[in-house]
Amino acid sequence: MSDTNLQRAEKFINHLLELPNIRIESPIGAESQILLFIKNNRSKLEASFKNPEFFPSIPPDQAIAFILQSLQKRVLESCIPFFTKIIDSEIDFSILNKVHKNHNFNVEAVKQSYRKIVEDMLQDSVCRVQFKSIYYIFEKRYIDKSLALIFERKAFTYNELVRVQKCFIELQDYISYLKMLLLLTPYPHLQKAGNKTLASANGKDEIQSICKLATGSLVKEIPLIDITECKLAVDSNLPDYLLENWEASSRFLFILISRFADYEPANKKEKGAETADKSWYGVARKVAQNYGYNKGIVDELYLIANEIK
Amino acid sequence: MENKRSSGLSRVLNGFINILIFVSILQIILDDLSVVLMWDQKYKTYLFLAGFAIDCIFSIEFITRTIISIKNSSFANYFFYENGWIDFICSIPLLLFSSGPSFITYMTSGIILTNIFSSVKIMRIVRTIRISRILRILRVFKLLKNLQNANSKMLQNHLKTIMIICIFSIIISLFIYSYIPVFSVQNAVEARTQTYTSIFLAYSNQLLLAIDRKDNRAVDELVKNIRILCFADKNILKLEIKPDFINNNDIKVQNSIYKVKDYEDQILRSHYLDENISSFNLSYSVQDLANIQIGINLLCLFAVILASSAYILYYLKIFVTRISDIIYIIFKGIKHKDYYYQVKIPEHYKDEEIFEFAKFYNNVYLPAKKKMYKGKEKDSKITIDDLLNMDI
Repeated sequence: MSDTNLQRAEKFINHLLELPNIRIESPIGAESQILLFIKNNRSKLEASFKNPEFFPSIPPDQAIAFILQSLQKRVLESCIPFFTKIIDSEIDFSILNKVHKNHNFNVEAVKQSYRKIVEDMLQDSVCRVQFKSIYYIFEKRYIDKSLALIFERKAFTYNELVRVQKCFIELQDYISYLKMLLLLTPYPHLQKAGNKTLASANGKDEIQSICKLATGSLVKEIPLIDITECKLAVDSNLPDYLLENWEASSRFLFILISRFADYEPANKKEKGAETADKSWYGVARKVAQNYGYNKGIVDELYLIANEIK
Repeated sequence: MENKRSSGLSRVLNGFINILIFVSILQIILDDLSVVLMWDQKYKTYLFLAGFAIDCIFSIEFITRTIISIKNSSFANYFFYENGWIDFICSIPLLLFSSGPSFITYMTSGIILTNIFSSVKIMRIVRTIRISRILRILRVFKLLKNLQNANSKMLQNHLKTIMIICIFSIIISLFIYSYIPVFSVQNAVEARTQTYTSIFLAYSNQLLLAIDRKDNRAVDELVKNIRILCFADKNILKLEIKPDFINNNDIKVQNSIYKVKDYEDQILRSHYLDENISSFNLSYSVQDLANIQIGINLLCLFAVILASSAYILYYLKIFVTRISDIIYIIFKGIKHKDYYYQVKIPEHYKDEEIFEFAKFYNNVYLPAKKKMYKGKEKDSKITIDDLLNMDI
C-alpha cells in the first residue's frame, strides 16, 4: 500500500517538475518552488489529497511526507553528481599550496573531505536551498567569466581580491580558489545537533557569533584546509559591514550568491530593457547599504555586466 | 465549435482583405501607368474592371461591418474609433462617383472613361474623387497590427494620425492644384481646341473659295498643304471633309485627308476629342496633356506610399524603442512584484522626458521596491490550477 502511495507521490512530483515554469529551473530551484507551492496551498492540497485519484488511503500529512521524500530523492539524484563532478574536475585544489606556501596540502584528501561535506550539506533540506545560487553560478561559469574581466580591468575588485586580501595568485588559480570557497558557503545553514543556524539568527551579533562557531566547526570537519579558507567561506554569508577589511573574497561571493538567489532562468532579454544581469546590479548599487553589498564591487560588476556572457 | 468555425472564417476573410489592400494600391499605380505607357486596350480594360471589383468588395465589407456594428449597438465606436470612417471613404464614395459611373459607361458604350477631360460638371467632381483613390492607402493601417513590434495600441494610433495628416495634406494640395486655372489641364485642352478651330476654319474658308472658283489645282494644293500640317502635328489623329460638303459640290475631293492607323485602339476614348469645324471633322489627341495630370497623380501616389513606408519602417522602430517599449517595461515593473528589469537609456536621448521618467524608475522606484520586498518570499510559479487534469 505504501509502495503505491510512494509511486503516486513520485508521479505527483514528476508532474510538477515537468511544468513549463519548473522544467527550466535548476533541481534545487525547482524544489524551492514546489516547497513554496505546498506551503502556500497546504490546506487546498490536503483537501485534494483525499480524492480517489490522489492519496485516499492515507492522512494528508503522510501524503505530503511521501511527496517531500520523493522530491528530496529526485533533487539529490541530480545535485550530488553535479557537485561531485565540479569537485573532481573543475576545481584545482593544488592552488592551496600556492596560497599557503609553507603548507603542504594533500589534494586528494581535501577533495575527499569536500565530497563528504558537500553531500552532507545537500542532504540537509535547509542547507540545500542555499545551493540554488551556487548551482547557477557553476552552471553559468560565472566566476570564470567575471573574474577574467576583473583581472583584465585591474580596477577596484582586483585590488580588493589580490592586494587587500594579500592573495597574489594567477587568474586561473583565483577562479579555483573562489569556487573552492563557494562550495563551503552554505555551511552555517547546516543543522547540527544543538547548534543554531543562520536561518534562525536574529541581529548582527548573533549572526556573527553563528558564523564564528560555524568557522570553528568547519575547521574541525575539514582539518586539511586552512582556517583562512574556512572563515572566508563562512563569512560569505555576511554583509559588507560585518566583514573584516581583508575578506574581499567573502564580499565578492556574498554579492554573487545574492545575485543568483534572484536569478530567473526563464527571463529573457526584454526589448528596451537592460539585461537581467545589468538590471540586477543597477538596482543593487542603489540598495547596497541596505543589503550589505560592497558598493565598489557592485559598481564594477554593473559596468562589466553586459560583457559577462 | 461554431465559434471556432466563425473565427477561422473571419481570419480567412481578414487575410483576403489584407491582400486586397495591396492589390488595390497596385491597381491604382498600374491603371495610371497603362495610360501613360499606352498599354494595349485589353490590359486597360482588365485594370479598370479590377478597380471596379475592388471598390465593390470594399463597399460590401464596409456595409457588412456597419450592419454587424449596428446589431451590436457599437456603430459609433466602429465608425469613429475602429477605422470605420477610413473604410467608408475608401469604399462607397469611390464606387458611387468614380468606378461606378465609369463601369456604367463601359457597359453601355464600351468606352472606358478616365474622367480627366470632360466638360460635364459631374465629371469634374468625379475627377476630384479619382484623386481620392490615394485614400485607399489609409487601409494600410489595418495591416499595422500584423507588423512585428507594432502590437501597441498607442503606436498604431499615433502612426495612424501621422499618416492621415500626411495623406490628407497631399490630397488637399492636389485638389487645390487641379482647381488653380493657371495649372488647369482643362484650360490647356480648351486652348488646343481653339487653336485647331482657328486653323481649320481658315483652311475651310480657303477651300470654299477654291471650290467656288472651280479651281481644281488650288483645291489639290490646299488639301496637300493640310495633309502636310497633319503629318507635322502629332496630336492630329484624323481629318475628314464632311460628306455632305463633298456631295453638294462639283469638284471631286477625297473624303479622308489624314488618319493615324488604329489610333482608337491605342488611345483611351476620353483622351482624344472630335470637333466639327466648318467643312472638317477633326479628331485630335490630348494624351500628352492627360499624361501631365496622370504624372502629377502618380507623383502624389508615390509620395504617399514613400511617406507611409518611411513611417512604418523607420518611425515605427523609433516609436517602439523610444516610447512604447519603455512604457511596457515600467508598467510591468510596477505591476509585477518580482520584475526588476531596468530601462535601457540611450546616451543621446537621455534628456527626453520619457527617459527622465525611466531614470526615476531605474534609480528610485526599483530600489525602493527592492527595499520594500527585502526578506519577503517570492510568488510561487506553480498554481493550484496546474494540478487540474493531473493523472497519478
